[in-house]
Amino acid sequence: MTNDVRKTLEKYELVSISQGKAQLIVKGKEIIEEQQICRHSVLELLISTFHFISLRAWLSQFALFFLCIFSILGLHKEEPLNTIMLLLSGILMISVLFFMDELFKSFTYGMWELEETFKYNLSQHTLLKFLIFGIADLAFILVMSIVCSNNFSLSFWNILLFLLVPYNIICIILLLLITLWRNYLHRHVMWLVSGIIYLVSFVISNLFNIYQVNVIYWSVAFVTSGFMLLYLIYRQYRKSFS
Amino acid sequence: MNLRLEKISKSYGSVHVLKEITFELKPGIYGLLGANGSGKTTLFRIICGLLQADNGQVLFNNQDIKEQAENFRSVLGFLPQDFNYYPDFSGLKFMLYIAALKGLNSRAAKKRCLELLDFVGLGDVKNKKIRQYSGGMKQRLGIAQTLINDPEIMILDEPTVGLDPKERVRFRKLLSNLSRDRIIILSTHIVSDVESVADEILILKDGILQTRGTAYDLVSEIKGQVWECLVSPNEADKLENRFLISNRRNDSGGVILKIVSTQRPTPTANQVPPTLEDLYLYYFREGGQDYDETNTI
Repeated sequence: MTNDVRKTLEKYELVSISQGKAQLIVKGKEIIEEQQICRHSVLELLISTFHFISLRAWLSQFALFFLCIFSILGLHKEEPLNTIMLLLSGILMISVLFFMDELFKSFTYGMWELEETFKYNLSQHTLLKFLIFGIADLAFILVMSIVCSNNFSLSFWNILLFLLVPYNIICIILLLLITLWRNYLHRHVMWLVSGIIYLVSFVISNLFNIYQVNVIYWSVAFVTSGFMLLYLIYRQYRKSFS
Repeated sequence: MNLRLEKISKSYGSVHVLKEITFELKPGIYGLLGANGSGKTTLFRIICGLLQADNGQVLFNNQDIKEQAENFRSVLGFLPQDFNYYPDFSGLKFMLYIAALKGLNSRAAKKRCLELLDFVGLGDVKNKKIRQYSGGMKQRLGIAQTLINDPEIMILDEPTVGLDPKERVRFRKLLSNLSRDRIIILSTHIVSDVESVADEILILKDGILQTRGTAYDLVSEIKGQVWECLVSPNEADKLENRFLISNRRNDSGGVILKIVSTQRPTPTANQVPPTLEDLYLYYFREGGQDYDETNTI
């Protein structure tokens, strides 16, 4: 375009058609609204879920984490494996319970009914919280195993297995409880159930010295419980996001 | 836009809470009137998808809401009867939380939440913890959260509970401003709440939709059947046993009774224009009690 043409064109005033403009705005609004309704972003929901998890939940996890590290470092090098693992499993269980408290918040405060009617409904929201807490707990377990294996000269993989198996089991039990009685489940029930699980684990580990059992059996228990847990999560995912 | 309920039935054990409820709603404000236990909350829970009906279906724009669950939830605003909240959240944080679950992007959400908090008069206390809010403020917050996604359908279950008279007037004004292009259904047993704002009133009794119409149409049903008379306290007691009394007030000359009856209850009784409250009492008289109106005093 030459300068002459540009100058000539600049003299022409373009008259806007207000009716057409108005139609365009209305159409644009309709498109935005439609996109808003149809838009579905799991990532966005994940970010906002993370954002609204209470600071107290994270602080309690950090407190437990440091308690765990100090306990490991404070234990005598010759301490029996049974004692070490029961201590770590106990702390891990408390960590899971603190997270479950946050997971159940909608039920504890009676918000579940309202949350169920939102675009991203309660089960989607709860599942994503579960995912965040699961990842945090796995990181917790990993660090515990590293510190423990360094401090007691034990196999890292063995400790990881000894922690992951009870972790999977307690997650399965609590997830089943949520699925079955979510509207009626109170946090006290969870604490009670977890207490019973810990007591049973304590008795079993003392009676059968389970940490001396061949690692193959632990591996089988891990794979089985892991598959069960993944299946439960997958089933819940299908139900929530289908 | 339309919302249609087709033959919705629901039972809890042997108790039939809803019996083949069928109606269609177009944009406007609808008041659902019914006594406690008449099935209002159950009906709302079914419309919101919180409860499955035993029979029948809810159709939004001629499509079953079960087949468009997420889309339907995207255009729904619901205020439950027992509105709960996270007490540790501030008003603004609570609104942002709801906005996130309703799928609004964070930038738009903040603007919208601030607008709505101002709209319901909570702009000045937006950063206060909800536990410090009064009952009326919490209820207004509840109403604000229903509006976050600019819903096409608003279900408000007993929205005026806990509001003082001034706040109820404010709520009615707020509803009137919202009614264009959306379907608003509110349930209440406070007749005056729906009388002035509802385009149409639906009366639910014993799980059956008894009637529906404008306040004027409904009130016409008992036109010529509402009487007022001045009687002695003794006579008033006798009349109370025989007639449906919609109001009783003491006056220097005796007791003024407002009576709903097909025939003149006393020779001195004067016909007065019926109100929706009279109609409500007519429909919800205790246990469907029939009065012996054969003899006048």
